[in-house]
Amino acid sequence: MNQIKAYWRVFAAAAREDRANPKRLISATIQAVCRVFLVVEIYRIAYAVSGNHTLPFANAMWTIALCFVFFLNLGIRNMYIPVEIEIKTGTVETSLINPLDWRLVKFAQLLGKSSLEFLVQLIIMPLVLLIMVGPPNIAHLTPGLGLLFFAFAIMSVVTAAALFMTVGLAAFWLNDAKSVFRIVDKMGLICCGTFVPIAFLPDVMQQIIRFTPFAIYAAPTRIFDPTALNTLTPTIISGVIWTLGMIAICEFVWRRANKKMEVNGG
Amino acid sequence: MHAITVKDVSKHFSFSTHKGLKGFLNPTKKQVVAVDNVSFTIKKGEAVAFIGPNGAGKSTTIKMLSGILQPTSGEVSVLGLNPLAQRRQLAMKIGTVFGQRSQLVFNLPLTESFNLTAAMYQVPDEVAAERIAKLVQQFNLGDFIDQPVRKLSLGQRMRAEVANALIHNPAIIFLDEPTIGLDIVAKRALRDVIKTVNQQQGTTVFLTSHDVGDIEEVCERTMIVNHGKIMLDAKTADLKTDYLRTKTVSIVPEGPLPKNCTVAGITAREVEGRLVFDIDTRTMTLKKFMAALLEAQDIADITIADTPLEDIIHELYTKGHNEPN
Repeated sequence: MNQIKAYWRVFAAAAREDRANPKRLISATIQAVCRVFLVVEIYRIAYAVSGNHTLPFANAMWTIALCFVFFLNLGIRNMYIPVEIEIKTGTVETSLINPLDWRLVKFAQLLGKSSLEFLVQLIIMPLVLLIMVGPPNIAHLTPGLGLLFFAFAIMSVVTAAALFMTVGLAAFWLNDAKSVFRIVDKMGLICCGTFVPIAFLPDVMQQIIRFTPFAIYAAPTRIFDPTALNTLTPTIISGVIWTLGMIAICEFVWRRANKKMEVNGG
Repeated sequence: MHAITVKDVSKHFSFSTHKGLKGFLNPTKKQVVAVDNVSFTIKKGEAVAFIGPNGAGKSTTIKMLSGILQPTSGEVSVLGLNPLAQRRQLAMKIGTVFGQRSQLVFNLPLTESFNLTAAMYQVPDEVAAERIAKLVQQFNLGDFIDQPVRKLSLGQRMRAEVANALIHNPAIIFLDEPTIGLDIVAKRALRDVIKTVNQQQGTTVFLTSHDVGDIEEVCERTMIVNHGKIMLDAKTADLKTDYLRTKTVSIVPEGPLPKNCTVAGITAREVEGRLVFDIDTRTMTLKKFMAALLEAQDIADITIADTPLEDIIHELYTKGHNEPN
């Protein structure tokens, strides 16, 4: 219990530290609204000229907006940044001195730093979308499904945190983990349907994505996508496997990294 | 009862000498011996200085003692625990301050950093509030307790860092170059509080530094390390008599520089427009010399310096002194 309280305090301190910078929050909000506006206008034209309506226009836009909020504003992908910085500067050694798990501290700090921005976008985005495209069709949603998608969200956050923590830990071997991050991140943004919803991707690609960690990473953002219901069982199985798998991989890499710990200064 | 036991500990680092593709395909490893077969024990409540020049192995040793680094060989025991295997258990019992790294939250008021540390070390809220209030008073932090850490001066921040490391009432405090970059006033203030913590609370102090002043004022025992080996392990009082016996007094006199200036039987050297006196404190106390100097000269500027650590190490080498306990 005390441990949970300690991580909560780490989270809260990071959130307060971020709150001290309201300009960043304002600029992130403006940027997010502009991004959604552009995408909506592009898709409006695409929908007008295309006969393919696998996903209703409003639902497609709500899905993409949710991807933006979840991937870009909550920003679990940014997990690699503090990890890489601490490894490159050697701060990781001094951070290890406290009695908490360094990786969980980084996770709590990241969530704390992005929580306010995430919450603000979560409130603003529906308002923007209601004005621009109207409400989504949610006839396919039931309370049970809502709970399932909530579980997906938790698995998604854990999997992504472990994935991008592992990417950051690559700095122990590569000096610069940015190159690895770029590859994983770009793949993630494509495979998670950030700019083109998964429902619009070719069938082969959808099949491949189902076997990658990106399936569970993207799962909670597909709540407005009725086609996601066709693959619920494989998503649950893959989600559980990848969540546990990524935690195991991260643990393995962390143990190897511990042996690479070096000293800055004599 | 020993707080720290180190037996035959070595730490080697290896790195590839070729970068890029060539290094990847045909790696050539170079090995650096950071700590070389070191053994020592430290009693509970002792204040020990672990000093040496840059690259001597001080930080590596402190990091092995705190469980961050795994020794290549040998045994380490801190408060009866294996630092690496029981790192988190040990973390609850030790405090650490790294002079070149902050453990405070940069953008938040100091008080929030203290509260966070208390939570991390699972100190109950009421106990934490009491301890923080006591440390604020002891370390004289009251004037800036509500300021964000980024706005503190280096001296204020270092005092806060040490106070932060003491919130969970550790049995040992490791201080890695805590006075680095501080001015004389800030150094003195920090040394005073470390000394108080050691004497009043019985906290074992393990201090690394390359500042001779730190050891003179804080520690009763000194180990000098160089190239990963302990070159000397002695009482600081003995070290003072045997090796810190020279004080260098450098002055700029009012008016023109006198030729062949001699004060209390000591003749000055002329160095870059200053008169420099080397005082052997075994034959002449600094107090006595200063009294004679002030009598003989009108002084525009004065500095008093210890024997540089590098000179002591050089002397140890030339004497072939290599007798750790």
